[in-house]
Parts: sequence; C-alpha cells; structure tokens
Amino acid sequence: MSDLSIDPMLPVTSETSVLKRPRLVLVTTCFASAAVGMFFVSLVAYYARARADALATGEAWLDASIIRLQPPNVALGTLVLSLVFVYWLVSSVRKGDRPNAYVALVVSLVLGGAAVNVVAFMLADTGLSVGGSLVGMLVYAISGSFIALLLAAMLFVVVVGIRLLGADDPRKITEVATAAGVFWLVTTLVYSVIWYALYITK
Amino acid sequence: MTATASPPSTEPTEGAVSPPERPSVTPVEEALGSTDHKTIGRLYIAAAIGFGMLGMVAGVVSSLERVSLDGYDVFDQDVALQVFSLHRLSLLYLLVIPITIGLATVVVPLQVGAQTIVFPRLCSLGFWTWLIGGVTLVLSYVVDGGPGGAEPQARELWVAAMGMVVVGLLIGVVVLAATVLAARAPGMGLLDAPFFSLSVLVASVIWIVSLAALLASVVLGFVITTYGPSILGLSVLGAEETWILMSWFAEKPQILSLLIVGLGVGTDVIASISGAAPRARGVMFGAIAAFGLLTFGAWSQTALYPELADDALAIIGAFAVGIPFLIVLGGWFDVLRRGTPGGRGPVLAIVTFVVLALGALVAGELGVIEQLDLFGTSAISAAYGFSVAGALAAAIAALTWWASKIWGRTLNPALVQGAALLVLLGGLLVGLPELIGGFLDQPDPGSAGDLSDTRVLVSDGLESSVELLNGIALAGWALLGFGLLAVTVALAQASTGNDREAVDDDPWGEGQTLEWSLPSPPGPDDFDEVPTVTSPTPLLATEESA
Repeated sequence: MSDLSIDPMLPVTSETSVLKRPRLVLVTTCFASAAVGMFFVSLVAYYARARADALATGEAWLDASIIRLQPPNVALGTLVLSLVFVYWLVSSVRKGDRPNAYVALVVSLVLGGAAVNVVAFMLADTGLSVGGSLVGMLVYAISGSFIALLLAAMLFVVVVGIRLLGADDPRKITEVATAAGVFWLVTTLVYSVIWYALYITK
Repeated sequence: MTATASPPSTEPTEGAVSPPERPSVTPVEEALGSTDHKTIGRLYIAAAIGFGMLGMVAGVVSSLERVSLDGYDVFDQDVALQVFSLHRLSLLYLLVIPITIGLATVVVPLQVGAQTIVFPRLCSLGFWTWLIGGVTLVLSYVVDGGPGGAEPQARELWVAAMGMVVVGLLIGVVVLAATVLAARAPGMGLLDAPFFSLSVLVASVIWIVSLAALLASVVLGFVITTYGPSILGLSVLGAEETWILMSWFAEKPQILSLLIVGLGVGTDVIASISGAAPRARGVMFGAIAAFGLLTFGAWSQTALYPELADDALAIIGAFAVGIPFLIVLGGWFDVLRRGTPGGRGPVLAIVTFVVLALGALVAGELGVIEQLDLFGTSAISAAYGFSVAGALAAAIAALTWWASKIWGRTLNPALVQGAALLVLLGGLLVGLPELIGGFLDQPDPGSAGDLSDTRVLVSDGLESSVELLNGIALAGWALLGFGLLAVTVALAQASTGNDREAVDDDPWGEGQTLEWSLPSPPGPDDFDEVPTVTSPTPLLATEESA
C-alpha cells in the first residue's frame, strides 16, 4: 500500500480496482423489455378472452366498420421503417460515424412521433369511448399503454443522443445504443401483436 | 493499491491541491440520498417489517370477524373487505416480496463479487417508488378507499398506489437479476454463483414477468375504477374488481413463488454449517429454476375464469412443483451426510421454512383434486398462509445468517430462535385450520364474498367447528405477528445498541462464499479489489488448500 492519499469522495478509478462490466445496460434493458412484453401480452390476453366470451354468448363486440385498416397499417409500417433507422443509428455508433448517427437518430424520433400520432388518431377515429363499453375500455387501455411505451422508447433514443453529444468517441456508447435498439425492437413487436389482435381480428 | 485509509491533509503543502472536505452527512441524509446498496437494502428491510406489522394486525382483526359466522359482528361488510384486503396486500407486496428484495439488495452484490449493485440510482428509485406507493396505499384506506371503500377518489388512489407498489418492486427485481447475470466477479460462471444469488435470479425473473402481468391487471383496474364498465360483469365496479383481477397473485401456483429464495437461503446455510460444498450444482440450480418456472401463475386467473382450476396444466403443475422442491431437499441431505453439521446458525428457521413450504405444496395439490371439491373454499387461503409464513421463515433465516453483513452485528440468538418458533407455530395454526375448513366447505375469505353466506355454505351441523377453526387461525396470525415483533426487536438491538462490538468477518467461522471475506459490515466500496474466483466456494477451497 503506497502512502498516496486520494480524495475519499472520489471514486477510485485505477484499473486494478474497477472492473469493466460489459453489457450491464443491455442485460438490464432485456429484463425491462421482458416485463414490457409480458405487460402487453397480459392486456391483449384480457382483450382476446373478453372478445371470445362475448362472441361465444352472441353479444355484440366491436363493429368492424368503425376500424379502418389504413391507419393501423400505416402505424405498423412507420414503426418497421423506424426500426431500420434505429439500427442505422446503432450501426453508425458502432462504427464511430457521428454524422450518420445524428441523421438516423433524428429520423428515428420523427418516425416515432409519427407513430404516436397515428395511434392517437386511431383512437379518435374509431369513435369508441373509454367508459362506453367493455371493448372501448380495453382498446383505450391497450392503446394508451402503447403510446406510453413508444414515448419511453423515444426517450431512450434521446438519451442515446445526449450521450452521443457528450462522447469523445461514439463507439464508447455502443452498448447504450444497442440497448435502445433492442427496446425499440420490442416496442415494434408489441405493436405488431396489438395490430393483429385489435385491428385485424378486431 | 492506490488508496489508503489516511485522511486527506488539512494543511495544504506547496504545489499540492488540497482535496475538498467531505461534507458531514447525518444518518437521515444518508438514508434519504444514499445509492449504497447496503443502505437501500436496510431501508427495504426496515420499511417492509413496519408494513408487515400493520398487515399482521389487520390479519388478526380480519380473522376476528370470521370467528362467528352470524354475519358481521365487528364491522360491516365493506369495512371487513377493506381490512381483509389491507391484510393480504400488506403481507404480500409490502412485507414478503420487499423484505426478500431488501435482503438480496444487500447480500447479492457481496456474494457475486460486484463492487456495487447494478444501477444503484435505479435501485434507489425502485425503493422510493415502492415506499411512497406503499404509504399511499395505506393512506388510501384511511380515507375510505380500497375494495369496499365508499370514497370514489380514495378508491382511485388505492389503485394508483397499487400500481406504484408494483412498479417499484419491478424495478427492484430487474436490478437484482441484472446484478447476478452481469456483475459477477471474474472467473465466476453462472453456476459458480452462490445458491442464494442463483435463487434470487430465478425469483427475479419469475417476478419480472408475473409483476408485469399484475401491472396489466392494475392498469385495467384503474381504467375500470375511473371510467367503467366492468370486465367481470359485476354490479360493483372499481376497486373490488381490481382486487379480483389481482387475486391470482395470492393463489397457487403464483403464491408459491414466495418460496423460491428460501431454497437458496437453505442451500447456502446448510452447506456452510456442514462444512461441505453442494454437489451437482447444475442439478440443484436446475431444480430451483424448475420450481420457479412451475410457480408462474399469470395464466391461471381462476377468479375470472373458474374453469381454469380444472385445467390439465393446473393439475399437472400442482403436483410437478413438488418434484424440484424434493430434489433440492435431497441436495441438502447429501450435504448434511457428507459434512459435519453444527447446530449453529438459523437451523430452526430453515426447518420452519421446509415444514411450511411442504404445507403450501400439499395444500396446493389437494386443491386441484377434483373429487375433494376444494376449489373456492378456504383451502385456497391455506396455500397463501403457509407460503407467506414459509417465506417469512426464510427471511428470518437470511437475516440471522447475514446479519453481520447487513447490520455489522449478529442478532440475539434467543430472539431469532423464538421468532422462528413463533412463525412455525403461527404458520401451522394459520394454514391447517384453513385447509380443514376447506373440507367443511368454508368459502375462501379472499373471494370477496358475503360473510353472511358462510353459514349457509358450510356443511350441515359443522358451523361451530368452522368457527373454532377460524379462532385457531386468528391465534395463528397473532403468533406470526409476535414472531415478526421478535425479529424487529432483534434487528433494533443490532442496529442501535450502544454496546456494539466488532464482529469477525465470518462470525460463523463456516462461510464458503465471497461475502465472508469482507469486513462486517463491508465498507462503502465493498471490494477494494475485485477478486478472481476459481471455485464456487472460494473460502472453503482456500481453507482446504491451506
């Protein structure tokens, strides 16, 4: 032990004492994604079960004519397209290509915002009210939760942008960018399940 | 090493930059602002015990209503439901799960050789979210909310608070799972991690998916409470419906998930007191993982869909879950046989855990036998009572075993032994009468039914027997409360006693895993230098090689 004293308030940063922990953000994001996936699977399962029960007893369920297919298809297409840009962002960060990363980040956020807009539009377009019927309540609960998820995914990409601004080498934030990409992928997968359960099967 | 314990010089020397003085931090400031996993874990434990005492009192009061089947003698029906739901929610979401998370938050980073828990600020956020949610949940009852409550806004507050509690717990288990999976010491493979940490990983994964499913139930409940209409076709909307939507978490198989971590605690403690390392670690871990997998119960929401109780998956699962449990017990016996077991440590608490866990498993198995017709009866609550008491026994064992790492002092052995005994008796007195009551057709008290119907539903001429059984269950909850009180006193002595003496790194002299190489309590940074691990039981291996 040397007689060198250091500020006890500062974290010790010598290589011998601090271990590099790879994939911490990625692993944590995967667990959070599992929770998100299970949350939406549960909501959609409630919807599917309530729909099956209603149809089995001959009760009216969702009037197919009030849901137009174009908006949900556009929302899904937008999210799939945004996925391409998010992975462009991840790839650019991995290569240390800052200009491309900024372009991909901005386009991803614009597409994410567009998807939020479409999902919100669909709620209004159906004319369902949250307290008017069981199906309305379920559609609002699922769509509202999805909008919250999409906003969280966009926030994650914004965090990547902030880290990118502060990083001397973009490659240092590869793990965070990859984690954001995984979360965006999960968000898109969740929407694809909602798209099929709510808008295709109705 | 580049750091020493010598304090920074107060007299600046020429050319040297004097370091800033460390601001004095009061214990309250430290508690409120700390991101040290040990502090957060201690806060979890203290708050969980506080909520648990409330839940035990509510359990006694709630049981008082059931001692007489002549309708509602103590409260009216709505207040009875409020007290009962407070009792169940407090024990499940505010005592057993959080105390497990608290213990794991302190011990797991020490066991796996991490310098801290993964994302300490996130861990802190999880704790405060849970705590504020828990306090709000209790307050919502005070202002006449919760199931049975009359105040609409308080009922909405209750559902929102429940959401906060679930989100807080979710954050806590995500951080723990990531710590075990990604922050282990160099050389420590997943199967080399101590069994407590492995069981925390299994429990965390199961709770991540099941708490997420529970959150979906709460979100639906919130929308129903705020806007309606009913998903269940009930005449009552809102908090009661949310209560029913959430009920699957307190029933088998999900309720058995409370016992997962007990398997890890028992394995580590028994190996240490026997002086022998567990063999076939892969099989043991596989058994704990299989047990955890079989306790996942979000699919089995029998309160909504009663036909699921007779589902083949439910029947097979109820019996299959006992197999991995017995495999783990077999591993314990193998260790005991090969080693030289001593009588020290929390042996009684481990025995209590095993007895009560077996009770929970048996109650779950009996509940699915169609010929016995126990579905919807109080036998459902027997599995709940056994599981909660069993998990509490495991928590007492863990608190006793790792007390020196948590509080820097060992617990009073007489108090913890007494607590374990009280929990054993209390758990049996809670579980067995509910199970027997199920055979006498007593309805499940968790089904939010009208207590006035109970006398009608129980078998003819056996009403007085059911009343006697309910009286015994009341005594059981009281004993469990006293057991928790004994733990509280032991912890208070350990954390606030003036006669604090230095405790050895390994006060049991038998520790096998990394945490026992650290001082008691560990310093702020846990490991100054992260060790490279070459054995699943590094301390035992070092001792043997010496």
